[in-house]
This record gives sequence, C-alpha cells and structure tokens, in this order.
Amino acid sequence: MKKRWGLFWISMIALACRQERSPCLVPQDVWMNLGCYRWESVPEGRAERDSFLVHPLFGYTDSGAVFVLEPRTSKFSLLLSPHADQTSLWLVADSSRIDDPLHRDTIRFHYQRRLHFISNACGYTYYYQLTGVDYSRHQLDSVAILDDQVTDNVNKEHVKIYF
Amino acid sequence: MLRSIFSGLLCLLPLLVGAQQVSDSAIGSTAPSPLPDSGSAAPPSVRWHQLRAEIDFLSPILARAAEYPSLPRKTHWGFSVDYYWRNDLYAVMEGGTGSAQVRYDDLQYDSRNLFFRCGFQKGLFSRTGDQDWDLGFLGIRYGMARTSLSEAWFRTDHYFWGPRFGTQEARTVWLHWVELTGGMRMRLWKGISCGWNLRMKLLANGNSVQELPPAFVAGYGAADRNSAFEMNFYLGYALTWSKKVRERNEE
Repeated sequence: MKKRWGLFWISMIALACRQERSPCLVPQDVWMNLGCYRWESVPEGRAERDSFLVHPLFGYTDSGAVFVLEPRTSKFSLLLSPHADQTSLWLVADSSRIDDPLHRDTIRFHYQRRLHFISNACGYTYYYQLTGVDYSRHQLDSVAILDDQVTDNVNKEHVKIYF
Repeated sequence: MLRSIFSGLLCLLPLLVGAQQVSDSAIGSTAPSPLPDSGSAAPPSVRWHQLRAEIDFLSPILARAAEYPSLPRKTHWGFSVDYYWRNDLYAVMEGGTGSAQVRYDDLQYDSRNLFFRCGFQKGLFSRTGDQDWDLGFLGIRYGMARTSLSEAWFRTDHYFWGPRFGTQEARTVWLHWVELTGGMRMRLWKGISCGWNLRMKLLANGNSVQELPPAFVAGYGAADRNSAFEMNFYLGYALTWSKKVRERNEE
C-alpha cells in the first residue's frame, strides 16, 4: 500500500514538472483557394462549369519561381505575401503557350493583413481580407471574390476565375 | 535532482496520513457526548473557530526547477487563508503573484501577474472532536488575475515568402475563471499543518486574450487553454479559539 502511495506522489511530481513547449500540430501557412470555371450555354440560359486547365502554370510576378500544376486542374491554392498588401501572379492555362503573351494573364490581389495568434506552441501567422482584384483579359473572362476572408479554413474557395 | 528530493519528501506524506488516521480512529472510539435533554434549558455550548494561513511552498520551487532553455522562465508565489465557519464549511481566500519570461525562437515577451481567488470548501468527513482539524475537502473558487504583458516580439514563418518579424504593443489583460478543487490538510505539530489541493479550472473569458494569451499566469496556468489543472502543496499555521454560545432550545 505504501509503495502505491509512493508511486502516486512520484507520478504527481513528474506531472507537475513536465512543462515542455507543446509541438505545433496545426499548419502555420494560410492558403488562398482558387477555382477555375467557364460558362456553358444550356437550354435554361448559361451554367457554371469547372474549367479544367490543360497544363497550367503560375508564378508570382516578383519572383522567378514557377509552379507547375497537375494537368487538367481546376482548383489550386496559393500563398499571399505577408510582406505587402498585394500579391500579383501570372497564369498560363496551357504550358505549351507560355511564350505567347496573349495566353498569359496577370491577376493582382489586394488585401489587408491581420495578425492572428495560433497558440503558444505555434506563435503567430497572418490572415487576409481580400479587398479587390485586378486582372488582364487575354484568356480570362472575369475574376470574382467568393469569400474575402482568407483564414486557416482550408475548405473554403475564395476566388473564382472564369475563362 | 530536485525531482528526486521532492518525491522523496512527498512520499513521506502518506505515512503521516496513515498515522493521523490511526489517531483519528482513536478519537472516534471515545464515548459520544450525551445529548441534552429536550425541553430543558440548553447549557452554553462551545463553538470552535480556526483561522489558517498557508503558503504554497512547492510552486516557487517547481517554477524554478522546470527551467529549460526553450521554456518560459517562471516565478510563482501563492498563499491561502481559510476560516472555519461551521458545519465543516470553510471560507477561503487565496492570492499570489508570478511572472514569466517567454524566450521561444519565434515569440518573446515578459509577463507579470497578480491573482486572487475566493470561495469555500466543505469537509468530506465530520470532525471527530473539537481538536480534529484534519480535513479532506471539496470546494469551489472564483479566480481573477491581472496580467501585464510587455511588448512582444514575434517571427512568422512562411513556406514561400520567408520569415516576417514584428512586435505587438504592451498591454494588460484580465482573466476570470472558476475552479473546482479537492484536497486535504493535516496537523503536523501544534498549529502547523500541511496538505495539498488539486484544482480543475475553467477559463471564463478566453476570447478576450486571443491576440496573445499569456503562456503562464500564476494561479491559472497557460491562458491559451480554456481549462487547466494544477496541484499545490501548502504549509501553514492555524490559530484556533473557542467561544461559548447559548443556542436556542427548539421544542
């Protein structure tokens, strides 16, 4: 019986001394989700359909990095810059036309950054509120903001791009 | 090293508890006091009071013992005062102060806080005699803490865009919580007593500290969680006195 009490007290002390910083188990990057669509004529008028891009590429205009997406992709995600209130990207729907400027569109997202505390384990990150969007119309028809709050909710689509 | 010393000391407590239980049972075997005759004038009875002051002796040591390079450096001082009212019911007031220095790679700030708790606790077992002040109890507390946070430096890491640095301005936040507690106290020698409290706390206003919940608030714990557990070990001194009261005799 005394041994059990001893084990109990040792366990309680060990528990009280265990104060390691918890590991961060949630994503710290906040992604903006985009979907590509097209209008299709139907007997009732026109309907929105997914637009599967053939061999899409995109990149940030102030960076040399190029992101190659899966063929026939209609959804993709990107990271907004936490260093500025706008992020510009170029988008090519078919990588074989990358040298043709008429097949390359530029989209500029305007937003406000909002500092968000995740936890003591993960520290801070930034959330964004989209305030506007500018775009070229070479291949694009229009760009619409569906949800202006870019947060850690990965299930929301924020922007619709119409071809 | 410190852990082994504390665990060694605390392993002795159950032995003391066992000894106390033996003495309690001895008290319990004495003949019960005769009941006053109903209908006659009640003699003056003696009502005992106790005022006990205690310090939380282990938290300051544990706060120091748990210092690792990446963890908050902490201080934690606490005290408790309880007063025996009647029918195994105690009024309790607790307070203290503490601080923390958070020095993570991506987050650095200092915090200092004062805390105050009040509530009551009820003895689980009836007293076996006037001088039986050993106690196992359950209680409830309301707690509040005023925490001053220094300007916080932070770094956010981004997969593509690289790190960004910034600061958050200094501010003061209030925390409010309720807690359920249980524990025990036992007399060691004359008025000196020791014991422990196990506390389960529920934060009432966690939303008000979402911008930067303090990593450590003495009296509560980590403020980025809506619930917290804590164990305190107390050493105290109790004053007891008696007062004659003439109770009204009820027919």
